[in-house]
Amino acid sequence: MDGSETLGSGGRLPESRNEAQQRADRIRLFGLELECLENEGILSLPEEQKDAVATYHSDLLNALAHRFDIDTSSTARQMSMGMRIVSFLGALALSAAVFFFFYRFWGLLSTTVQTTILVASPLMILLGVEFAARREKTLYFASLISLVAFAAFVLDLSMLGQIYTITPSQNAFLAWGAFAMVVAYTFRLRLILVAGLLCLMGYLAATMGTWSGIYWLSFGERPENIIIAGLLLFLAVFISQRGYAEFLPVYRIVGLLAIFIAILILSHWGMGSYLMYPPKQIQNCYQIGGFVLSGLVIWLGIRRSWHGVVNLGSTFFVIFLYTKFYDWWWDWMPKYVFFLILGGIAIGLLFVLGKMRSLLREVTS
Amino acid sequence: MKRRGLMIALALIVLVNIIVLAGVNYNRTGEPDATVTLTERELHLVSSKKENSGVSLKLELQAEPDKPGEGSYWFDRKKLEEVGFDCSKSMDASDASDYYDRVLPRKTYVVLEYEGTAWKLWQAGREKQLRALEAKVAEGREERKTLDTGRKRFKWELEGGSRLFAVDAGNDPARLRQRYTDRTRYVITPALVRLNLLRVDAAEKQRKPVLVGYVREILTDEIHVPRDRQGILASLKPAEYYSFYDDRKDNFAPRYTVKLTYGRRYEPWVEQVMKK
Repeated sequence: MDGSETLGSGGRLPESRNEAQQRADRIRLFGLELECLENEGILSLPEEQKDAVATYHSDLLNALAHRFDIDTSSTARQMSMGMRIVSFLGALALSAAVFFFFYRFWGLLSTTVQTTILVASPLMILLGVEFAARREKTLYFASLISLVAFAAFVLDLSMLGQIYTITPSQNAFLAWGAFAMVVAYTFRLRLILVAGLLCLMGYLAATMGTWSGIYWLSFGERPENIIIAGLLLFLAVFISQRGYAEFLPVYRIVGLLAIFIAILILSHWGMGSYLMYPPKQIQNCYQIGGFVLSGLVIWLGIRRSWHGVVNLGSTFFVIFLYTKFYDWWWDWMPKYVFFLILGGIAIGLLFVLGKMRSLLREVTS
Repeated sequence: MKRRGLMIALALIVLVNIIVLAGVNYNRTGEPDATVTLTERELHLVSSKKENSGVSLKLELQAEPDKPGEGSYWFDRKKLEEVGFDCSKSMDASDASDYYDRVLPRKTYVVLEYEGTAWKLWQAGREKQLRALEAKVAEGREERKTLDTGRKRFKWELEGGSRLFAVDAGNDPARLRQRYTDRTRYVITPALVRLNLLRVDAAEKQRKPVLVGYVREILTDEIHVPRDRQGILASLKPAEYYSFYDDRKDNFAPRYTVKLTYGRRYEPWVEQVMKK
């Protein structure tokens, strides 16, 4: 993709659909605000300047719509969101169909035919992704087909394992993760990026588990493996990914989500830790760690304007808080008092967050 | 960029499949590590037909007694340490239970013995248990019904129970093979093993807590049967008498035997299925 492509008027076109959509949104908001300012008599642009801006924006929107098939109105945007959800659900359903179809009929086939079908399926479906990406700029169909190709590759390796009774290994996750990442970066697809990151995280966590001598499938029984894998994923954000800015939030959210979930588990299940201290002490450490990490994540999110990260940090702060209250009070406190306190704390949190919001506004202004 | 990315993805699929199939080829060529002929008692049929048309067999091991001095007990503390478990914590320590409960399973290789010494010892142990139960019934310390169930169960085990026993474990399969040279009776296979701290119970206060190991899972225990080698299996359903029921009247009679070969990577495949 050529990032240096320009408009006839000399303006530079964005490199990705995501950037193009952001630019179109800004133009729409600019038009609304300009109209408002004119109606209130605060600003009045000369007719030729207004025409020049309108012509420029119109050309730009046409060029963006032509190149990226972006949404140029809020209604179209809502429709797009619906299409994304449908595309995801469709991918899940089709992937399940691929699995069950093969299971239903594989016993009727010879081993050679089984192997040929398993190897050929992801190759053929991947060519389908390329075909869809060429024909449709929004990439809804390409995204759907890419997930089916991923499912076919998962089926390929897992069924070869069954057919030839191969000893299970975590290396399959590396192959699936690498495949998903290549497809995601080739076609700029975020859903399959999530699948790829989850596979790579599974591979890293399982491999780290084997270093301490445990069986790779037991990695979930030592959630600290997942914390390190999540951290590596989160740090990958800081590796230069020029031209793939829309992927960075995915890395951040998937990495942090894994870390938070692992800490949440360890804060209630000290027996699952590598640390050979009494389980209660380990749980207390992770509970404190969960609060500290939530705070740091919220701070980092605000500082870097990562909205998803702020929301994730806030959500887990509340989860850590409420699970702690549950541990302390649920058994001995009347239920109405328990919920009353939770409600009161929610109101208190609203005040605190409101205060933070005001401070943030002061800083940014 | 797109064309290059597409080519990389396609090449990745092809390359990974080549690696997997080359591994299969390596396992199945050359001198096999073992070839054993087992019956339905050791290889239960797994087949659901409706949603899964594949046919596979599940390797069944006979459950081991876990008390030292009984049956073919062999998986002791020394063996646990040999396969890599850290057993340095004293079993009398106050936090010994916490420590050993947290130890996760390890992958190693186990030796499976078919219809050998372990099977004979196991039968002798069961007979001894039955004699003890008969004595208790005679003294009025146990009900007659318990003895009847025990006898039925023993009969079912003799007719239908697996004669395949785990008899040794180690991280080096080649060394295990040097020790167990009969390739028609001893199979070496990757497995998950775990340790267990047996605590003192009220009836055995004189006994000290003891560490024992056990085979938690054979990693290649489900073996796919290719269509051209299914033989009689294609027309069979899993037998109901794979499990013991007290009120069962009919006898168990294995319906097939299977020639199973283990290759150079200790992974099995079905060579032949024969009607019994």
